[in-house]
Amino acid sequence: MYDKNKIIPGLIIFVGIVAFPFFYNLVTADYKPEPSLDTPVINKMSKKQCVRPKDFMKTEHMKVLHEWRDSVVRYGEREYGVIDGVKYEKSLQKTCMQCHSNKKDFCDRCHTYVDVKPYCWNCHIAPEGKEE
Amino acid sequence: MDRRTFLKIGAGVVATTAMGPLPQLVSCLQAKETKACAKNKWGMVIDVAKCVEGCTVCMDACRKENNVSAGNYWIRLATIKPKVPNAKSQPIPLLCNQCDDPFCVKVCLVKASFKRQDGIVLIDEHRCIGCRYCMIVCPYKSRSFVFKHYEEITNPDSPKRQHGVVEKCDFCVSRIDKGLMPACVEACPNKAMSFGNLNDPNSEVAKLVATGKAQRIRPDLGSKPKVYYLGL
Ligand code: SF4
Ligand code: SF4
Repeated sequence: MYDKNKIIPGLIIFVGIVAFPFFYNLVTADYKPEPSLDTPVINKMSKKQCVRPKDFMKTEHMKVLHEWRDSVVRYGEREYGVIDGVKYEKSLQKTCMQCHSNKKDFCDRCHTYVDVKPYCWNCHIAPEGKEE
Repeated sequence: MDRRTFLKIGAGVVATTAMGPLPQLVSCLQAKETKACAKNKWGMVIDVAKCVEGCTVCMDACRKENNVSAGNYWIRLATIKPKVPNAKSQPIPLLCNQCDDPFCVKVCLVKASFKRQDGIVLIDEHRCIGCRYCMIVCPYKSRSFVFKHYEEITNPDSPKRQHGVVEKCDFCVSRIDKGLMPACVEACPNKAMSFGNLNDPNSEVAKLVATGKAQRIRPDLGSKPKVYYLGL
């Protein structure tokens, strides 16, 4: 190869510049979305728990919501069940958002972080005063 | 593969396919029976003579309950006036007839419009793509398109609808599931509407229909409407 001495360092510099943002973020990014659980209802709970375990909800809440949606809309099955004596309805507005009344600091934190835009709130109504 | 194995596998495949609709049937037999179960068939009887001119209570109650978008109607009042001298004009409430053989469901491309097992025709607004075929085909003009995102909320427990879907009367399905009457039926001060289970011979609606005096609008079109009118 002619000009080996120039081409190879040139390539390395080029790749280095192009890949710089990736390396930069690898080193500096320490932002975690950390959704907040600081709401009046959750603070009052003696045993803090969701309808399913926390880790499951973290990764699968969208599937739970889809299941709820289909069974409520298509089959009219509105009851989710009883957990520790509390009856839960399959409802985003009436169940999830009762506890997580802080959409901005709960839903939006992760959704903004991973840049997903779920269309829930186009129709469902976020708790009072916390919309959008 | 010999013939015997082929037949065995074939029989297995056929049996599995035939089981497809089974979960739906089972959902009705389960202990936690819902109002949406196929043993119910909701219907409405409207006594036209009790409906007075100038009253819009049912329309207002509907709007309030369901966050109906501005300019759209789930229930509306038409006025009929016989072509005879001195005839009195008579308002009649019109709403989705919750057809038993709904045309809107047949044409919906994405299965957003569907009939629940209890006969209520619903739109899954999550799926509706706003093609409006259903609006063209509905013989009763019961459906409206949401042209503008509607922000005004009158009932925070019920969702609103986003721009680009079709909406219509759902017999207040969330109230029915709770064992309540539709908002219009409850609100009417003259008790012009009755609502109930057509499959239950002891229900008010079934009795009224059994008298043979209750008429439906254009049953000849073949969509088998479930809203009946007395004194039409
Ligand atoms: S009245 Fe129209 S919208 Fe209602 S079920 Fe019948 S065809 Fe569908
Ligand atoms: S407008 Fe929506 S409900 Fe009507 S046919 Fe199209 S997708 Fe189905």
